[in-house]
Amino acid sequence: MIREHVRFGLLSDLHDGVMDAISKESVLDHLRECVECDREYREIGRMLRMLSGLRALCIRSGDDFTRATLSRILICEKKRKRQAYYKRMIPSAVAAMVIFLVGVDQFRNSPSGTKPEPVRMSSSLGSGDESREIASSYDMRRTISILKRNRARVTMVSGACIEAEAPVRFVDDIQRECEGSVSYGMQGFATAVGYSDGGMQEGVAPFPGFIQQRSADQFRTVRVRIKLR
Amino acid sequence: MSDKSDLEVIDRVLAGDIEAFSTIIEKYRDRVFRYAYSRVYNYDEALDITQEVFLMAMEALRSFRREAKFSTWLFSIMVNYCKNFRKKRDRFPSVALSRSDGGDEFEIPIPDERQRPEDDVITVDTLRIVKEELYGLPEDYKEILVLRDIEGLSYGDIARVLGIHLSNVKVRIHRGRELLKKRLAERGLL
Repeated sequence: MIREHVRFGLLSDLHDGVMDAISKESVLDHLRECVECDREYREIGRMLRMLSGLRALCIRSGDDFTRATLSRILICEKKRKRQAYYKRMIPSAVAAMVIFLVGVDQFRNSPSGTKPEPVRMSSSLGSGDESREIASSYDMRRTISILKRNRARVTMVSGACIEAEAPVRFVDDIQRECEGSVSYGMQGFATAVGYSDGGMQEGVAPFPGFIQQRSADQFRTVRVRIKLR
Repeated sequence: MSDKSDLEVIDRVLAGDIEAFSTIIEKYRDRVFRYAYSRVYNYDEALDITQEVFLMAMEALRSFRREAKFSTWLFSIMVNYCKNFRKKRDRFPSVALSRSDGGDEFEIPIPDERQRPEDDVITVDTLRIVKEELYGLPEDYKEILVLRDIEGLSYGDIARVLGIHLSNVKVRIHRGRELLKKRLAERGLL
């Protein structure tokens, strides 16, 4: 049996049941003999009961806490899923864009002799003579861009040609820009046939394939057809 | 609800049944709230903290490795969140912290079993004094007594939740109880 007063820690451990059997027996023997330690032990017990009374502290029932929290969780989950989706998609989109830009860059910088193989499409227009290869979608976009820049209204785009209505006064510019394209290694990039409202009339081609019909009236609109190869 | 049923609920939540998480919230909300309230001593802030803890738990649920009990894992999140909350609030103080600064007081409901005649007479006033003295203890002692004597966590769980050694848990519990007992005796409760 313990002769001296039992330390507070041991009494506390006794309440928690975290003592080995021998120590527990010694302390209990002492408590039977020592009024002071026994009182201390009982006071600790009373304090612990009072502390456990604080379990009554809880969320007010009127606050509807669970529903509010669940709503927030659902919103956060939706947001998280959306972010995860974008996280998955962004690398693919970036990769696609990089491939596209590298392709464009290579196409621009390639010398005329090493121009990438054109996409071959059979024409849906005209007879066998009009069957042409389309150089690439890049050529097509470039041609449309030239036309639009020169106030032309694109009326038809096919695998073989692009038709547009352009003010007569801009036909020279269209022609020049097409020549510019040719000089940048896109020989045979475009052939054009210009014709007035009266029907197709081939004129003198300033470079192979570009044929235009110019009206006397510079402000009139002519239809221009650019054949892609 | 045992820890096993916690795991079943978690499996359902991870399988996409988010609403099943309400079972977890219902079960643990008051325990998380009590701890948060002991740290901030303000009902509304404690409520906000409790909500944030559940949001964080939901977000991190996939990382719960089931090595410890779910409650231990949840309480770890709770303890860390409260710690960070206190740090942030101490940096930008805006609300009174201690009872002497006018922390809020909300009524403690007395459960029926406390009113049984054979029980110690623990009135609302007694509980209020106990609460005041407990919350007035140094942080280390207060948090450990809340976890042990109010929430009933084992010594091992407390060590895991607080990230301290088991012997340290014991020492803090002894010292905290001794100090609290002394203060309650001064208030005439013991």
